[in-house]
Order: sequence, then C-alpha cells, then structure tokens
Amino acid sequence: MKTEKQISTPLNRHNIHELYDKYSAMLFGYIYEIVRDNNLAEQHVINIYNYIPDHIHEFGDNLQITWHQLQRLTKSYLEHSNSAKYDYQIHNTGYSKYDNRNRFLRLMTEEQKQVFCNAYYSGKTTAELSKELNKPEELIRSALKGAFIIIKKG
Amino acid sequence: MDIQEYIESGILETYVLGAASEAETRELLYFKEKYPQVQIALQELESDMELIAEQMAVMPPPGTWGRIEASINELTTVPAYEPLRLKDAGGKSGHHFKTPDRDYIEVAESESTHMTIHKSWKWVFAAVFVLGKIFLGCAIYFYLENRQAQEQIQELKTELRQNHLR
Repeated sequence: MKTEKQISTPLNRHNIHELYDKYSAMLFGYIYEIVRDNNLAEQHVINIYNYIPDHIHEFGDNLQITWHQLQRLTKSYLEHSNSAKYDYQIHNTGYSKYDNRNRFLRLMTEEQKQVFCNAYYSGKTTAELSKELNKPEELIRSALKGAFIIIKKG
Repeated sequence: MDIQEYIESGILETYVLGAASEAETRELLYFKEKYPQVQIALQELESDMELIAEQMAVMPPPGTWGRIEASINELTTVPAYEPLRLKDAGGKSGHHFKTPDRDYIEVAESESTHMTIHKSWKWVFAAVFVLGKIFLGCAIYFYLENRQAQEQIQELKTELRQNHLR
C-alpha cells in the first residue's frame, strides 16, 4: 500500500469558512458581473476558495486576507481561466441584472463608468484603455480618480 | 517629487483597480515603503473598493459552501505517487492553479481513513456486479427447477404406491 501525504496548509477549513462568510457574496457578485452566468460564477467561487490555501504565502504572514488581496487573486485566476469571458462589455440597457444594487455606478458619468468598469472587471490597464478609447492616459487616470471620489462621497 | 502630487495623480486608484503597468506598480510599491502617506491613501482606496464590492454583493447559491468543503476534503489527502497537476502554469503574475482532475476515484474519505483506487477498477467492479446478478438468477432458477422436480418425484412415488396397492 502506497503511503499518503498531507498537504500542509496554514489555513484550515474553519478559516476558509470564515473567509467564505465574509467575502463570498462580494466575490460572487464581482465574478457574476464578469461572466454573467450564475453557474459559472458559482464554479469560479468554488475554485477560488479551493486555491486560497495554496496561495496563502502571497497574503503575508498574518493570514488576514483582505478583500483587496482576494480580488487580486481572483483577477489572476480569471486571467488564467479559459472559461471566463474576461472582457467587460458596456451596454446601453444597463450593466447586468444586478446593476440596480450599485448606487455608485449610477452616480458616475458615462466616461467614468466605462473606464472604471473596464479596469475593475476586465482588468484592463490604463495604457490599454487609453489605446482603446483613444484618449490620453492622464484622462483615463483622471476618470478613475473621479470615480473613486464618487465612491468616497457615496 | 512632490508626494502629494503623486497621490493626487490617480496612479493609486489605477493600482488598486489592478490597472497599473508593471513599472507603475514597482514605483508605487517603492513609494509605499518610503512614504506613509502613500500607504494610508492606499488603505483608504482599498476600503473604497470593499465598499463597492459590498454594494454589488450577491449571495451565492445555497449549496456553494458544501461544494467548497467537499473539494477541500478531496484536496486534504492525496496519494504521494500522484502530485496535483498544474493547469496553465506560468503567466505574467506567476500564479499556478492546481486542478483536482486526477485520474483517480476518491472511494472514501474521512479524517483517519482514505482510499484511492485507479479508475480502471470500475470495469472490474461492474463485471463483478453483473456476474453476481447472473449467478443469483441461475441459483434461483435451479432452486425452483429442483423444487418442481422433487414435487414431481413425490407425485410419481405416490402414484406408484397406489398402483402397487391395487
């Protein structure tokens, strides 16, 4: 009989459950906006929570995972996932069926919304956005800055 | 460089959204270490990002945690001779994502016992199952045949006895 080995992980099931309670709705909402498919979004959430123990070293020594860190891992995961439709499209009819949940997006100008969503959901860099929208990078950064001011003000 | 001007330039927002280039990121991480104002501004922006994610939060389907837990259990113990395969390794961020698509069936799992067998065994199990059913059918058939034959023998014996008495 061949021996078995244990994957050593500093995170146990309890920690993962805590993370799930804390961020799963945010993560699901975020991924849904990208893939626009409930089943696919659920599968990505499951995969991401499974990968957290393997990537815990990227989160620092205190094992306190912030939303920002989880989102970075998610973006990286989605970039490597073939099934994720990683290209955010803006429609005149609205962003998705959950759009009405986001009051910040409603407060943004079309330009801010376009720049913010493409960076936030599609992971496009300012250089890429500048090229795509045919606008200088300074303007893209300024639009992002404006979007964050709206978020701050609420 | 005026650090306040740098903070106001929009580069921090770009970084927090993951839209900064590698050079911009390197520069920002350097300033983050050097200037506490940059670190504070970044923390504030990260809170803003959390705020927007909270606004867009959607509860995942009810069975999602169960599926995550099942996958964690599956990954907790793996056979030493079968390392997890890496899917699409490499990439600019250097992340490696493991997939549980091993060529093995997890037969049972618990904290103390775990058994993993090769998938080819499923055909052996299927054959054993089918043969078992065939043998069971044969056994029932021959049992009934035998019982019927015994009854016929008894009847013949009775008839012979009656004929003998006459």
